[in-house]
Amino acid sequence: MAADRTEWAKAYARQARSDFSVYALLARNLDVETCHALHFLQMAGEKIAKAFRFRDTGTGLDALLSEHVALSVFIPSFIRSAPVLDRYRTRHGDHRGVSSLAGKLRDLARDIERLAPAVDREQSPRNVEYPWEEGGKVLVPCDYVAFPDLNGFEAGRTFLRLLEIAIQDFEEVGIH
Amino acid sequence: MRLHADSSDCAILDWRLLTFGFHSPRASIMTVKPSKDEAARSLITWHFEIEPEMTEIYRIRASNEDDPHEPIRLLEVNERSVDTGKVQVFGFRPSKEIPYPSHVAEVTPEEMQRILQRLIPLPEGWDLDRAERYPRPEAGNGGRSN
Repeated sequence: MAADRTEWAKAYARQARSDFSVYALLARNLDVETCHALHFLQMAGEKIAKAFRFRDTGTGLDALLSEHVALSVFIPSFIRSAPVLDRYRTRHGDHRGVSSLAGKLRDLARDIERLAPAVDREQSPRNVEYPWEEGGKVLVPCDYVAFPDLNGFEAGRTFLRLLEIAIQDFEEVGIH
Repeated sequence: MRLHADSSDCAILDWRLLTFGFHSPRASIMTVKPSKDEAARSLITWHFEIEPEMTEIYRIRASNEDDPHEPIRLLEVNERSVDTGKVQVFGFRPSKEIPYPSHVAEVTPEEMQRILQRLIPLPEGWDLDRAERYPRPEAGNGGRSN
């Protein structure tokens, strides 16, 4: 009998947690090139997004197993989920800022998602795993210095915090 | 903890104009490496600029802050963040504009109150007694704290 979606969901969440831990370690290690930390961030994001979609949506199993585009779909849903909205407070005491924040987060998620070599290869060949050609030159991920910088983007730190919540609180938070 | 308001702000502002242009560190034109203090203030100013609901930032100095390998530590209070009841620090590498490692934690104003009341612990090595507080600059004062 094939494994059910819940089992897949838990497995993806567990691996996402591990990937995210490695990201956190690598991001602080100055002896390791940036591409490796971002690779683990991209993988953690993809896996936790799929974990939620396995558990909380009817998205087809084959699609979830084969696609790399997941994080940019997941993040806007996640921030609008009731448990996250309950945690979210603005100075106005309501959620009126969520829509604009969700847009920023979706853009960041898309930037991270594109770091996978299979995503948007035509428009965005830059990735964290394999060399690519740009302007007649072959560029190497471990030498590349212009990857997205979450410390320099609006909502960058919030993005990481939300991802950490999604990973750590997977059992308690849903995106129904 | 002290409120940041020293007389070197003008120098920092001038350095930022030289280094980052008016708006973005991405337009860096300067080749001289800034001091760690200059880089920290620049990062703080940049985060206030890009985060519309950032209310205050604490720069926490380590006991061995002079060590260039010690990261710039920032505890940032952002109205737009989400409440988790804990302080999660994310590490960032040096960049062309901020040539020092940085560790940044973002909390909500409510979480900051609980931190000040010692109800939420800070990570090891993060001590508010060694913190400089940077409130959000008032509009029109050139990004300086008062």
